Amino acid sequence: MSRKRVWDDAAKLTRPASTVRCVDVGETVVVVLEPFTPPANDAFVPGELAALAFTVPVAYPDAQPDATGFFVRPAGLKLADGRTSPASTSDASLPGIGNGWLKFSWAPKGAQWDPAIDTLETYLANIEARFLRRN
Amino acid sequence: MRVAMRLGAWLEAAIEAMLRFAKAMTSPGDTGPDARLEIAWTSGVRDATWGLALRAAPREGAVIALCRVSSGASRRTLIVQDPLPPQEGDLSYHRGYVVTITSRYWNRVIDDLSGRSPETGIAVLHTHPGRGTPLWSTDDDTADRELAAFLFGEGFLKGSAPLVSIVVSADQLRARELRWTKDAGVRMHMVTRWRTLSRSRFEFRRTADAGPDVYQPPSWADRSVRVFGRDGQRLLADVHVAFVGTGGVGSITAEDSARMGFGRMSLWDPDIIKSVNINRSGSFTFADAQRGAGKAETLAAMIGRVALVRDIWLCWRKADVRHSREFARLLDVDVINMAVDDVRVRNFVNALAYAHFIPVLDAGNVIRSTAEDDVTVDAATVEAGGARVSVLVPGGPCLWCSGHITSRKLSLAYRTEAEVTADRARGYVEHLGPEHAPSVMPMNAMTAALVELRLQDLLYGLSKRPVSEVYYDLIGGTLDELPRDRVDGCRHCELVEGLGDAAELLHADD
Repeated sequence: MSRKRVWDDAAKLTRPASTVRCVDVGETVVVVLEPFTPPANDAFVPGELAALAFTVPVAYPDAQPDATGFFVRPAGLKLADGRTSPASTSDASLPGIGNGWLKFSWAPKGAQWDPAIDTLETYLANIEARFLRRN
Repeated sequence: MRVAMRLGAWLEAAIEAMLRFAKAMTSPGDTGPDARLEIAWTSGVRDATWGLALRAAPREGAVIALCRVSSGASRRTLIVQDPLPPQEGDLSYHRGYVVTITSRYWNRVIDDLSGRSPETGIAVLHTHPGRGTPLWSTDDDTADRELAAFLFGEGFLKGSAPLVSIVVSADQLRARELRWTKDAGVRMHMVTRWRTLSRSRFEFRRTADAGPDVYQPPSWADRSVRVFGRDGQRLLADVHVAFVGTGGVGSITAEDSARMGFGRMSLWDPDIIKSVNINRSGSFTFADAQRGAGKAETLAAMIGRVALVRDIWLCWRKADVRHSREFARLLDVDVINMAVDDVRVRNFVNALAYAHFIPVLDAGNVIRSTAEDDVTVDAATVEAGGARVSVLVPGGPCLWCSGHITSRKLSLAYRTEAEVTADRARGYVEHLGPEHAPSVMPMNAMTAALVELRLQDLLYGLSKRPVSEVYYDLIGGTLDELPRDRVDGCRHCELVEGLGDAAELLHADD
């Protein structure tokens, strides 16, 4: 339960061609994966995201990572038709990082967060599962 | 002449209040070797040590337990727990009744210690059967000195670990911490108070080494002395109660507590008074709001004017109680009344209650109204409402066990106001709650009264029952006890219980 724990667990996030960096912002840590290729990437334009980011409270893992959603770049991400934005998304500023992000207000689905089991890896897997389901 | 007299009285009150603040703000010091020493344990551990050892009467009895330290600004608490009861052959007797702890018992204790953190120490309790103040014999003095020199000198106890010698009669306890250095040898420091905690009772008692309790309840305590007697009033004067959050519920509870006769009070609140606070709080005025006065500061001034104990020890802090610089002061208190919305604070104080053996009464209320997101509507319907008081005490369930704190609620509490506002604007983020929680004076007064009644019950042992949570239903008009049980292996209470200074609490500035 500390900022160090967030940094340590973020360092364990391995995704092909992605680098992970952490930014301390107040009582949270913003974890950024650059670039990030979501599963079922043919559903989006562009298919490879410049970045995926989410905030993690320093009380992690007692406190789960952002329960209201996550952020991606480019902010102009569209569905495969090239015109429609994904559901429940909007332009956003990522606290401590800056503007130009698209917030996916996609709360984690499935079982409730269990601090004894869940990690940033399971949180990221949940995001990927939602990309795969496309909602 | 009348004006002059009023002015004189006002000046006198103002000077008195200033002196009281000055005294309060200079009182906390650094924890040093001369810090006040206290013992804290649960009633279960008391029974498994003191109670068990007394069964050897008319011979002496002895039990060893583990011990850890909680270091406050001016108080060092020795937390006694995990008794290691003697087995057959662990004790021997001289002259038929003087107990000796055998090397076999010591070996078992040392083996147990070797698997624990270096901050873990030992409490050795033995009995002097009979009633009254127990006295250490010359043999006891010699044995304690030899024990300290052996355990510290041979490295079985680290320098920071506590070693406590406790002697008890049938009804009284004395204790001393034994410290050892190679150069100075053994030094003994007397324990002046012990705190026994259970889900049904908080007991605070002075040892004979505390000196006489000279507090005399004043004549103006007449009506409450007629309820709990002069000793009952002395008990309150001896208790240090903290208020974490002095808003709607906290301000009423704190003012009432001062009127009841608590002798030491500490207040924490980082907020300032706003005009919207006035119709649902105690003490605060529109003038306070106009000058942007701090809540804790303003409440302290009021308390100085109304406290039953006229030389009450007062400390107020315009600060987040989670900040590391506030921590030692918080560890000096006996009981915490908590009334805050911030889940981060509640999570922090929740862990502290168990790790440092400082019981907490956590209070809150909620009202659901059709007007909660729109103050322009003329007609509103109250759909639900309730007030809750939970008791957090070692051995009992915590706010996580009861579901009042969850990983999701805690996560949401770390979001900035800007983020919450942005999500509100998005409209499709669920469970954000109303922008400002609806609140009215009667619900806050009701919640404060429940806190005060629960604390009164726990201090005086009125119901003698473990009541973890009471809940008042605004719509149903009922007051219920809610069944709450500890979750086995809970990492927020059971696994940190009694760790004291070894517990890792997350400060706001970490």
